[in-house]
Amino acid sequence: MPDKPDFAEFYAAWFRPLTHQLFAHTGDLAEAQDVVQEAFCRAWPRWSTLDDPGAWVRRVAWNLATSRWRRARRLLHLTRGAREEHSAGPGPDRVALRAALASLPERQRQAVVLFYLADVSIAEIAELTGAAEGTVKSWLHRGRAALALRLADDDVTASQEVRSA
Amino acid sequence: MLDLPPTDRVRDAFAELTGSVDHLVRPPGVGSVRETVRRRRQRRLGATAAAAVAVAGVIGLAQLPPLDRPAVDLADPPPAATTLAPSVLLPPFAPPTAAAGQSRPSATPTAPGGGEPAYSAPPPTQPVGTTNGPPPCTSTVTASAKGTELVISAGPVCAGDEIAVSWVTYETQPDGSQKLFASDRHLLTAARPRVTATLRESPKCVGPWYVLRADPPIPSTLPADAVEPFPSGAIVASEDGEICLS
Repeated sequence: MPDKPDFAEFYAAWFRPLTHQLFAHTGDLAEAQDVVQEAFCRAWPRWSTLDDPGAWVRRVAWNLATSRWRRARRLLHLTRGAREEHSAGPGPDRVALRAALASLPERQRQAVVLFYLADVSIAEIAELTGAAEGTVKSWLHRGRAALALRLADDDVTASQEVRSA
Repeated sequence: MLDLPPTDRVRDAFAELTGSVDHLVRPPGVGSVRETVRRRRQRRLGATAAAAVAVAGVIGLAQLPPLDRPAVDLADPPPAATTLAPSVLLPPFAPPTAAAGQSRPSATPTAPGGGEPAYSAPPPTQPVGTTNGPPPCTSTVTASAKGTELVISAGPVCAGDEIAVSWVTYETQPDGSQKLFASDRHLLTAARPRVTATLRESPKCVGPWYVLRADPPIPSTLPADAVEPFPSGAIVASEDGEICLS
């Protein structure tokens, strides 16, 4: 087992990848940076006791992001009356994937981001989310298919626009 | 692009997405982490010290003899048939077996991290014209945690005294409430004024932990909107937890 890095090295190595993941999930870069920084703040006082600091910080950052997003959604729900938003996050963006991700249900989006951006195994995603591995596989399958479809649609639309121009 | 297998197409899109924002990511830095933690510790220390002052003030008031009663001279107590109870000059939590003139400890909470005692209760006020007894014995209870390793100590513990302390951990639930996960109780005595313990925390959803004194009721569930789950004077130390994902 490799030596545990010191905190500064760990911070330097993990801040950006975690921020990318949380940005992909929330669609809000400032919010992603906030929760990742907060996760590091919680890790620092217990640094000496963390066996797997990367997994620990990732879990805390995702917990915070999910919690904040749910709170924001509840607030949105209250201010908009009875209208329930199916999925969170940003509207269409200049990057096609953001719009495609925003269209996914929360759990599917989380599974896809963890799988593709964080290289987290299905077993770890199951442990993180408290779901069965079969459920995670189902989320991944459906999420991947939906993303691929959306991305393909965007390509088709783009190519049609080019042809008609 | 359309000919790519879906998974590769998705991977490419993720790479494109992260590449598009990477130059905008601004890590606040390790210094900011340390400064935030230091500030929070100071704030917690201040909050706990304020609570300790309030508790000590209440105890001090309770120790004052009532104005409409004659003062009790400890050096020459009146006959038993006419005397007031000795506990008039003792803190209200003194057990019946305590000897007159031997004050009870006042467990004073301090902040985690082994900081300095926030406050020591002043000695009981002696009525004018009475003989001073021996100096009161006061105890300070402190707790510090490093990760899950917890040290609770009192100093000094007065002879014959026992100070009940306990630690408790909670597991965060999906609805934001906290479910009791583990707890343990210890007695600090003059012979054993310090105990070490390991906080047992949920492996999935780490909630807050508390070190308590004086055996307050421990709720099995803390509602999500609970602000003060324990009487402030009962909390020796505490730390917030994280929020559960699922």
